[in-house]
Amino acid sequence: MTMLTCESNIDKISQTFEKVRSLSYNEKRNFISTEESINALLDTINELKQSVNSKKQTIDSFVGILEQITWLNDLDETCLIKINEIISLSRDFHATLIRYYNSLAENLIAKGIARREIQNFKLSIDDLKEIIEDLESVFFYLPKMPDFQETSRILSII
Amino acid sequence: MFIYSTEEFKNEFEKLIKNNSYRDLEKEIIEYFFDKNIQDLCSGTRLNNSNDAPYIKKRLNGKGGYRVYFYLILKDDCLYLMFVHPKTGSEGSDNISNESKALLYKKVLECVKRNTPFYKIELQVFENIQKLKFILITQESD
Repeated sequence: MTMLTCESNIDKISQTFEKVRSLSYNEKRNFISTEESINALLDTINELKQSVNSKKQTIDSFVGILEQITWLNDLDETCLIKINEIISLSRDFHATLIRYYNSLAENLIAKGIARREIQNFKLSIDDLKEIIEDLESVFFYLPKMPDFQETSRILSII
Repeated sequence: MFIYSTEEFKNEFEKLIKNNSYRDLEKEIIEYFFDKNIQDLCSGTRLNNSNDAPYIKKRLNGKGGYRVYFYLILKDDCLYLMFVHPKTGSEGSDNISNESKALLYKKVLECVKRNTPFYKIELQVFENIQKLKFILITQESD
């Protein structure tokens, strides 16, 4: 009887040993793979931040280029036609950027991922929209406003 | 270089700096406009197609960004600050209308013609911080 109990105990201990060995080993393996997963996730987030920042810089630079057009002089009809095309293409570019921003905002901002980068990106997209409106103002609307032209005329002779 | 201000700019500026969200505006204005060569200020969006006296809209940074409208008279080495608005926050707006751009231009004309009071802006130091001081200019004082 005593012998049987002892064997039964050994079996139980052996089973427990197997169990803990398996648990411990798997946990170690999983721990390492979780760390790798987190690193991979953080790398992806960093890459995304860099990509958003890079797009922002491209937009900022392009806005500067569009501003410089307003300093050109003696523009003829051909130039105005080209500027009108630039405005149209820039609007198309803006629409694409807005779609990209909406996707980032829906999927990431709500989760607190790359919030600052995405918000700065949106400010640059808004700057682009603003300069497009201003180009239309400068080349197509203000020149047709009699008040504006009269003010220019008087200021030029003072 | 002389820096002047229209009534509109002064009113808007004084309203904005009372709002804590726009406390960096004064510093942004001072850093961009003061102690500069007038030629250095020929950047931004030119609204009036003039080389000698450009009417300019300038993007200033700072929290959220500001837009400043000003009129440069190169031959007189002076400028008139015409209007300012923030892009974001409770007083923020995306842009101003073409009608507003034309109206601001008309108002600066009245200042240049000395038909309406305007302000000369100087810098003063208050508790080691530079501040804008608006000095009223009228036909009598000019």
